[in-house]
Amino acid sequence: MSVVVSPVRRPLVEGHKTYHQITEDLCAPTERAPSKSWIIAFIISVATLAYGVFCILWTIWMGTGTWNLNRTIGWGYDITNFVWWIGIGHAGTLISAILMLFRQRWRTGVNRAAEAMTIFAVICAALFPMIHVGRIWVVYYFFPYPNTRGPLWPNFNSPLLWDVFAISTYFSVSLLFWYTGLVPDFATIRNRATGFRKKVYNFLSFGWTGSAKHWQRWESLSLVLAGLSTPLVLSVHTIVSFDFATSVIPGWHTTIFPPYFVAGAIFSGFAMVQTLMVITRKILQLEEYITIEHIESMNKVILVTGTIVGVAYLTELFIAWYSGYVYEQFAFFNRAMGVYWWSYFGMMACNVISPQIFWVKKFRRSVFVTFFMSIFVNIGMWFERFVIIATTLARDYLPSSWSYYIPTWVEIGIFIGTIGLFFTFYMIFTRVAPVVAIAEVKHILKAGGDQYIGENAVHHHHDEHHHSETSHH
Amino acid sequence: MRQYHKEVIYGLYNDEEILIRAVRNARGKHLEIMDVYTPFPVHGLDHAMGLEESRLHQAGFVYGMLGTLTAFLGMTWIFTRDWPIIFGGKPHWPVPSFIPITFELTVLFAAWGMTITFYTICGLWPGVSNPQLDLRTTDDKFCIAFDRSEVSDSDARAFFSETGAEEVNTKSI
Amino acid sequence: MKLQDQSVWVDEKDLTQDPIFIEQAQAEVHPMSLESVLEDERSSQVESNRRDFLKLLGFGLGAATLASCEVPIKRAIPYTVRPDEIVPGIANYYASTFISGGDVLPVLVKTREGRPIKIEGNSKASWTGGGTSARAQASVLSLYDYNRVQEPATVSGDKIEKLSWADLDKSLMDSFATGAKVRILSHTIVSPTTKKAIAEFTAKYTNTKHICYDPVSSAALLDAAQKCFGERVIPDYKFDQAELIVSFNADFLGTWISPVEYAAQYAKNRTVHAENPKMSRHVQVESHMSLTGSNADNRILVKPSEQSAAIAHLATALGISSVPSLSLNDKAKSALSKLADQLKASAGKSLVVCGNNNLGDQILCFNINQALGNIGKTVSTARASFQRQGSDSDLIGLVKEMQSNQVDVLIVWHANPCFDTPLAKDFSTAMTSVKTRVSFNALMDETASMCTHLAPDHHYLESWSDAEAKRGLYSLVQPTINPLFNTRQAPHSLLVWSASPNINGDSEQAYYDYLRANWTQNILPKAAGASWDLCLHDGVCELPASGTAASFNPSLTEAAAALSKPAGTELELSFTESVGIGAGQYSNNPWLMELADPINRTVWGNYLAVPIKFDGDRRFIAFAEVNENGEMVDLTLAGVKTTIGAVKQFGQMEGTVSIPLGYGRTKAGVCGSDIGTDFFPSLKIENGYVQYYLTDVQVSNSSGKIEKNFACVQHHHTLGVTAVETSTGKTINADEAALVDDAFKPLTKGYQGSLTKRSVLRQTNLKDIKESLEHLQEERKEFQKLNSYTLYPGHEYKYNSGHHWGMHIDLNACIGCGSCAVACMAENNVPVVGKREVSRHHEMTWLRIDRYFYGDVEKPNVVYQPMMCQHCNNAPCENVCPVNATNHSSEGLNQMAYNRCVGTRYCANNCPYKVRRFNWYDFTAADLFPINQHNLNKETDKPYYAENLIRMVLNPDVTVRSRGVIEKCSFCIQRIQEGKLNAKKAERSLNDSDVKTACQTACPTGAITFGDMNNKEGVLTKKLENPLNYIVLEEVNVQSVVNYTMKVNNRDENLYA
Repeated sequence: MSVVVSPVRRPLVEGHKTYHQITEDLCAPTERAPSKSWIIAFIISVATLAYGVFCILWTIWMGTGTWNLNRTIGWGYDITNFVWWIGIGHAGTLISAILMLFRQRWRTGVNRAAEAMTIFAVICAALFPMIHVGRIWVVYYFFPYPNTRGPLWPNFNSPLLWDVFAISTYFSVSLLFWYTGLVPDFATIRNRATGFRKKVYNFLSFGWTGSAKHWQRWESLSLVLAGLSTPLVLSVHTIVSFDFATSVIPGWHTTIFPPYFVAGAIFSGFAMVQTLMVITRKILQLEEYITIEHIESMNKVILVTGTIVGVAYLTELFIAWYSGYVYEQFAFFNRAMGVYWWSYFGMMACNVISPQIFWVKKFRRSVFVTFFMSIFVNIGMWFERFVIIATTLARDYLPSSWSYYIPTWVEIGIFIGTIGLFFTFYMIFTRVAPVVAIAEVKHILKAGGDQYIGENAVHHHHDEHHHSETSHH
Repeated sequence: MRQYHKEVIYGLYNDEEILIRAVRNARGKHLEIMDVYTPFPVHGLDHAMGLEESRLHQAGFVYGMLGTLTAFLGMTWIFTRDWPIIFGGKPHWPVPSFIPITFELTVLFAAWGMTITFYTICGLWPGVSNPQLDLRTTDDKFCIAFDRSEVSDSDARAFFSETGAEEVNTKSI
Repeated sequence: MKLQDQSVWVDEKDLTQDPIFIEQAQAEVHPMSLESVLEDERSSQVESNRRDFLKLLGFGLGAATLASCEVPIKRAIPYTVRPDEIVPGIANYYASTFISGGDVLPVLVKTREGRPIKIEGNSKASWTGGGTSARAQASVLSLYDYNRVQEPATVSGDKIEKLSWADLDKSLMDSFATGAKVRILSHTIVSPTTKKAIAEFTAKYTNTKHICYDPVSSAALLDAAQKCFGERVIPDYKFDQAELIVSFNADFLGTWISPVEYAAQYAKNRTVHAENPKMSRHVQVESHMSLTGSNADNRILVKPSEQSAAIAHLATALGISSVPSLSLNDKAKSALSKLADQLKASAGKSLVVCGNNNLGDQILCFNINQALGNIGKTVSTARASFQRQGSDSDLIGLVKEMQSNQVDVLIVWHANPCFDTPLAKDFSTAMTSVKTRVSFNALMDETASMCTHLAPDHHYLESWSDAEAKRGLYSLVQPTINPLFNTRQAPHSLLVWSASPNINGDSEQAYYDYLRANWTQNILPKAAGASWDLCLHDGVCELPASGTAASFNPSLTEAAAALSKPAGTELELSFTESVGIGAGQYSNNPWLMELADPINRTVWGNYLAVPIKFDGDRRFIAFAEVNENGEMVDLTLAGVKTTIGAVKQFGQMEGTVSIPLGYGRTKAGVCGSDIGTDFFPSLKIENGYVQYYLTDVQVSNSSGKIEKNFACVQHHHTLGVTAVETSTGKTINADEAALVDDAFKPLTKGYQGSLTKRSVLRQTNLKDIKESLEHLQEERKEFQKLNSYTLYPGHEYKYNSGHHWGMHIDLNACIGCGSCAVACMAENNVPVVGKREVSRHHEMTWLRIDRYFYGDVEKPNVVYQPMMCQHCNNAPCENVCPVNATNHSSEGLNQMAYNRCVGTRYCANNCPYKVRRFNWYDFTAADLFPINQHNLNKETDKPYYAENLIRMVLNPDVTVRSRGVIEKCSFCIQRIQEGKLNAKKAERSLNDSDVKTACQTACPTGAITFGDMNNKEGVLTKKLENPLNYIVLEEVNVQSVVNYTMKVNNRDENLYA
């Protein structure tokens, strides 16, 4: 192998895996019959999804008035959920792209599932800008297409239009990236399958053979896509933050938003990856591929990004005070001590204070703690968006128009529905595609397998390393 | 994959490092390798085989620039020529406002352009069934294949046994 | 489309009830329906039935879809022979007079294609100056009220039997047979011709008596005038000639006698010039915060039962002898003594008015005016007003007569005594003893539903009539539409019944002839140079004032006897009249129902105003432990318990509460019924006068439950009300302390300055005006300097050529009456949304009047700030709209393209002024899906706006917005376009006075000026030169084009010292 092996690194693949064993382990979940727990979970997911669909149809049929938004607070649960889901959708591409560029080998255990999560989360997110509008049947006005109205084009000054471009680009590029990674693995499954499954996987694998030239191009494509996705992923949440940052509303009009939103997105994205991985590795028995090492690495990211977010919160407060601008000062005063104080404190507690326990290695490596922390972080990040959107709008410039907002059952139903949508997709995904990237795990086996590195390494391979090529990169 | 009929002799290896040594060996013996199949991307294999550097990323750059120009010129034309409208006191050519969309379209064009190019030049498309020498090459086997019209069976077999191939087979594809 | 049960026709075949047309109109999909094809016998003979079924099903769906895309109106019929005056698309204006009881206002009626759609003020009327009230503005909607009684009928029990006018006349004329005791009961009638008709009726049936009362009575004032001036009229008050105005409980800007007239006069001395700062002072003596009190510089708080004491104290202090001394709270005593000195200083240039229905109070006030030399100057009888004529004792007498079975026929004339008098219950019981009960009322209200005969009157917009609101100031009422229903004008009915020789039964316009004859005989000869046509054209006929200097009779002994004694009870309650719905006369008008109360900003209901104070720490505590507005309390009035929502009211005197009358109608129609609580039964009668206060009052603690759908359009009320913090003894901004959530108990003062430092509202005292002006200009300079650091140059070059529309609002002239808000709704087809939706802050008003309190919590001042789209040059809403639905015109207008709007609400979020409104539902029934259409108040069969009759009020020049789009003030762009076209046709340049917005023309005080900022000679430019002007949130650099003038009060702190 042509990679440098760090002797201090802990193994990323455990259990003395051979290449064949990896194939067996990772293809197995797609080949065996679904377990009882999977079926139950799937039914619950689909039921929640169905309820969400009902609530969406109700909104469309009855009007946006079925939501409790009002003349002051034009966005509430809808855009909160949108930003939340978009944020969650950041970890996948981040893991695939940025960690790939940084040659973080541990990404291979989790990138596939994380990318899938990205795609599903972006679908959930993209739903909200679409259904929150008053007239969904003319939502195509967003797109610049030659028309007979003048021609009338969209307004390229609007951050919401930038969002449309950013999200659709992000979604489609993530999909390409994810699917291109999946093609060789589908080929692996195809070559093991028979009958109808073989046909299906043959279709999905595009006729992949594993030819050296294809691999070369595949790697080139992956690298450039990673290079493109890295600024893309940063741009998406930056642009989402522009929705607020370019406005004139105190508490929204903030230059810190782009980095703050990106850090928050990575933070919440990793938390969601943790939530899913902890469950997935347990249910699909993938503990040897998604190891404690992976969990710890991600917890470190959570700790760092959580702290960045915390610094951002404090910076906001400082700048609000330092600006001497009464509206800005009041906006932050109101966040912390106004009627929505509980959401601000939920945000602070879940996002800033609680992740600090990850300074302790024991907690970082505890599956149990990780799971609960990941849930906390997701709740905290939801609160963060709620604070930014609803609390800020509730009390802005003119006290005469101040208002209060609590969601209706419809709004809550749609939120729950998107969670159902997300898990429905994810559960289908675990049944159809290898949750861990087979080719990529094989690729790093010699650099990260426990038979090669770490305490359990079998040393007869060692001399082969001497003869191996040095990296040409 | 070329789609015409071929007679192939191939050997299967267990380990990518043995494979790379074998490929170098073959190149040293001027045996023309038809293709190599591996279950995962083996670094250095392309160099060992003497494959040219892929120019996919150069194509990507061109696609990206196309996106940049489409977006920026398109928006400029729309706002300054086609129908100049006043928005919030901004000029008709608000360059900072164009940056996000210009960037996004650059990425979009580059990514889609490259990906479509990749699948096209590799002959990979939904529903395509490319011939395979051995199904295990997507599992744990590494395969070197020779075209029997270019390399004689005896040379090939000698080569395979010398380089430690586990299995040697012939196949018509 | 149910067409035949309505009086609106969409096609001539519809009008003629063509059965084929009606059948076609009713069929949704015709003539090929799925059933008819399936029933076709051939279909059973062919083999492949199932597939055909699916094909047919497909066809059926397609056909249904296609059919639903088209409203089944077949074709529009253009005028073939066009009436002379009507040009389609061009509005006609007719001068007329709005009359509703004693509410009288000369107006212009705007009609389009024969439909009255908007009321404008008539500036030819010298006494109103062209202003209007919210009630007059809304009256056009009452015309199209589908709850109106539509035909003559007889009623017995629940059975209503329609009959022809001839049959009704016959059956009634039998009842009027000689000797029958006939009583005509009406509110004030100001029409001389109507009075002539009544006189003819009375002459024919000699046992007839006309009884007149007012729902909110001014009987004591009239009787006092009778005693002091020898004439039972409302004296002519001249607020514009008074430097010092003292009002004892008279809400003369909101509801008292003639608010539009008084407001116009009042505002003249309230606008301030920075160079020569001078304005009148207004002191209001009251317990509750009335609209007038909210405009006052100083308020002296006395309990309702102390009013007499207060007036007596002032009279004594002014040296009027033999006035009894009554106990009064010390603060008021000291303030009134100081006030007396000021009054003396302004002798002859002051005015004392009194709204109490107490003979003693009124006589004393006349004496005070007499002592100050105001009689003949600010108070005179030359132009006495006839806008109130009611007599409480006559009404009481009528009830007694009926109770002793002495009345044979009762004719109720737009009066609703079964609701709007304290005797309502007795009246309804006694009424049953009257054999024949005739109603002229427009609605099947509480009284009409108890009548035996319905003889529905025209709406005033369908009528010929006249009015003499003030002596010698005549105006005409002319119809602007053919009667919508089979109604007949009430005086016409009287003349028919009295078989008058003066009415020509064969004439097409019998009553018109009668009116004209009366004018030619009696009125026109008095007016030099006036002709009928001219009067009809102008709408008014003003005779010169006849100088009859009445002798003044002090009548002090009567006064002393009638004064009320302070009750000394712990809690007193005052009943008020609502600015919008009056005492219930306007209940079925949703525009008025949804007009926010100027003070507490609630709509659709009446709420108990409870006093508020600061707990010395960080909370406003309200009496009865009301934490949130709308919380329910038990109100016990003379032993009768009601549960009602309470609102915390700044300025409500401690130990008092107040409640508006007029709500709780049971039979008002779809919009007015079952809204709020009726308090008429609680009113007491003392010395023969209805008293609008009560001393036997208990209020329980709040139950903590908020009234269901408590609808209030403004939840936060102040921009900094101060109070003393007990722990430090310092004066702090109590409101800012109250903004901290309860979870932060240890933090007491909140963030001081969070409200007061906002550049939303600027106010000062007259004596500090120089300082404030300097401060203002310094601050504006700083803002403008900061705003000059900009990335973009802007589009000034464009705005500087051609027109650049702008607006100026004088906060000193704005009294908060709300007529602009209703005018805006009428002009721009702004929907009302009903109680539940307002409670969810879904109101659609394009123009709202923000009301803020400032100053000390115990004695706050109020400022009204009309707020509408500011048409910012750097409009933040425009930048964020993704689909280009809102953008800027080269004339500086912020435009909305409804059709392009997708409804992201991003623009509304990004609007610093929060003036954008979103159509949460299909409020105007503009879409085809009935499911989205919206009920205002429990209409079940058909939502309010889905009624075609109601839709006749829509302004065809303004798009009716569908569900899911944003809308907002357009600066009445349709009027701008009209002005431009007119100027173009006249081949001249547009003057800015060519275009007036609806709010501007509606305003009685001229607070709003719209115009072209580039027109250097224009009215607007002059207003913009005022150095007191400021721009709301100027530092945000949105470059608003609406300028406000700083609010200046003339408050005298010494009065409180």
